Amino acid sequence: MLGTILLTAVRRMKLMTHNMLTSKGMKNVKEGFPLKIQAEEMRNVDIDYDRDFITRMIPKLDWKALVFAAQCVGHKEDLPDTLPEGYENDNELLKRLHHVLLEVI
Amino acid sequence: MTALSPLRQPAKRYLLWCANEHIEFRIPEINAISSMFNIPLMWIDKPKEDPYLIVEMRNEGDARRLMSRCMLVRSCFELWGQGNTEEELHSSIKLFPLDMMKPHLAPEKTFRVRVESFNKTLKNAEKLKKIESLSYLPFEGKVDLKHASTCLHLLEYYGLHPNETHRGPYKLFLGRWVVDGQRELISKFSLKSRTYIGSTSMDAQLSFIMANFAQVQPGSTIVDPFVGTGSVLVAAAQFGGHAWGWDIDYLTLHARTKPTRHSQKERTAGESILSNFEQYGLKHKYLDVVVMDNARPFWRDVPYVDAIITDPPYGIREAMERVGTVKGPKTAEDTIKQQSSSHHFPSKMNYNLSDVYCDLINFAARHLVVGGRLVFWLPVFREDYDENHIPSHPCLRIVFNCEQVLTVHASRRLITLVKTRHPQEGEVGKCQVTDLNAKFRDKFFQAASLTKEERASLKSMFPRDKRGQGLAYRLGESKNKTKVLKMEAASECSSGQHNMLLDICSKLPHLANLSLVKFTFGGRVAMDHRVYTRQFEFKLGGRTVNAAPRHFVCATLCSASVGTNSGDLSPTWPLPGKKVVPVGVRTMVVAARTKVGKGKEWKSGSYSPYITSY
Repeated sequence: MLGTILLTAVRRMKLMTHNMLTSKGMKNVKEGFPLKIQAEEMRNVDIDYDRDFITRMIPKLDWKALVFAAQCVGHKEDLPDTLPEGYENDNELLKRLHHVLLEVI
Repeated sequence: MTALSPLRQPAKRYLLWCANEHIEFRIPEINAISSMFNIPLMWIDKPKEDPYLIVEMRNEGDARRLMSRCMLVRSCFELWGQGNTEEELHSSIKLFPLDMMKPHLAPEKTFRVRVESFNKTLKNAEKLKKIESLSYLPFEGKVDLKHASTCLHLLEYYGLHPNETHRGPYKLFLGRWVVDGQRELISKFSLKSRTYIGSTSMDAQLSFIMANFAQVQPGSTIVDPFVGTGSVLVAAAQFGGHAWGWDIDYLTLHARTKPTRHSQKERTAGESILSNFEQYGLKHKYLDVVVMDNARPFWRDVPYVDAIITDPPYGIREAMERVGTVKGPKTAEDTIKQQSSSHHFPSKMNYNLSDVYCDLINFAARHLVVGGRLVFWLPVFREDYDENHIPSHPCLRIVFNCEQVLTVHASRRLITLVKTRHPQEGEVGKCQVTDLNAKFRDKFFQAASLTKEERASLKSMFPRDKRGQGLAYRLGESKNKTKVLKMEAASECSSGQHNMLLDICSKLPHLANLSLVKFTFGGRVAMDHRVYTRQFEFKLGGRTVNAAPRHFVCATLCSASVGTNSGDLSPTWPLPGKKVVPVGVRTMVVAARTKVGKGKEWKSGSYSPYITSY
């Protein structure tokens, strides 16, 4: 619930940012992650694909939370349940990740 | 492999012609860039103030890579010769290996020679003469003044002081132009044309310098915890960083604040932080900006940030705020009221400056990757500044500390810290911030209410050069020696200052030959702004000096340039006393600037006499 409160104040957010946010700063919150998403509206934007950046960000992401978030916004089918090994060379996956992380707001 | 190549290839000398501003940032910037690109760099000549630096690099590729980021270097030249006199220059050019010259002057190449003088304007005939003196070079190609493939530059340096150019150049260089620095970005990213700006948007040049200090590289993650209008992030994005930002101010992030542009009445719909990125085609570098309180960061506990670049509020132009309340415990009624609203906007309380830095440093210790950098501004009250005041943390090491002078008594320092290791258990909150930082705001406003005399004595203690730069090293050198002559009494304007000057003279036996005949003060304290003929009159070594109206008078009793005058006017009276008269207190400067006439001439009422001693 707490997570919902936080995100209602936010008008648009990328899933990349969502993956990094918790509600731990609030009182009585221990885990506070991942935040629940109640998306009222979704938009797609075009962002230049930067393979290097995506590859560098993947180890920093919480994969479970990302899958959860993708499910919330209806992009579940784009992502495998667990991060496959050798993702660095899987250009197809990286491109889909790029879309989910940066182009859905 | 990179380590071996310097052995195989003899290093070449390059001349870096720097911009004559932000001098304290010059060398740190070059060092930051060379270490980021792993360019082995050897300093040959590293003067403190002169805008010409000489370095040794492996090859031209390295020079080009270095220049691809440099903001404070105008151009880079392959050094063909240098000297302190023209003879020295020519003999040094003759020693330069011919086989390194020839390929650039070969028959199939075109060339041109330019003479550039620093702090002196040369006539075309003079320039031509200098160019012809180079005729012994093995020129074989054709001259092409517009699109030459080889551009030779003869650079002459006449010192930094505009009044001391009568002697020949101090230094001369001949170099082949290689590449320019990134100075053109300054006008491209100028705040004047930026879509969305606020009262504290960071100047474009300084933002780029900050990005360089932070070693922003393509693909890296950059955050700014006090994002404001995103001016710092735009520069980082231009250098390839992907930017996240947050700020506590909802209105700023949504561009709903009062416009700061003079002509603008209302914010337009197009203004936002994202629009700033879009303006320069950097949309793909923009991640998100979030409303967040730095005292309670909502970030997941992973080190995900490559660099933090930020300009925290100093409490002068932007308030320092955090979420909190200073009221007593909440009543049940309050709680209900809050819950009934779907949008809860928490109340804010004052955020202490030392807490601002404490939270920032702790955030850096927790979230930076090892080797990541934290770059931030720290406002300091110059008189109280001490290196120990810089916030520190066991996991962060200081790399650079450069001063930018803001006013006579206040400056800000760009601090760069690098994370050396991850914090151990319980070490995150180990940041050390001295309490002095917290007093900055109070002191800043206290200083504003100083009397004129107090300010004058401060001014002499902390000189500020015409480029508006900090002269921190000068300050360091003279700190112990300087003794400010206490300017007592003199609360009344003219007679008071008159007495004061007499008082100073009587205290200094060296000044026995300076007697004040008449010293009428116009200046800022005068009631009417009229200056009559020969009002400014005093004796110097037996000669009486009279100041004609419409003339700027500057009797400098020492070699120090008149730090308080305006540099655009040169003394019209070559006073005999311009030569050095050593005075007990180091130096004494009497200067006045008179203004008669209207409009175009000088700024109205701009004459102001100064008596300064330092």
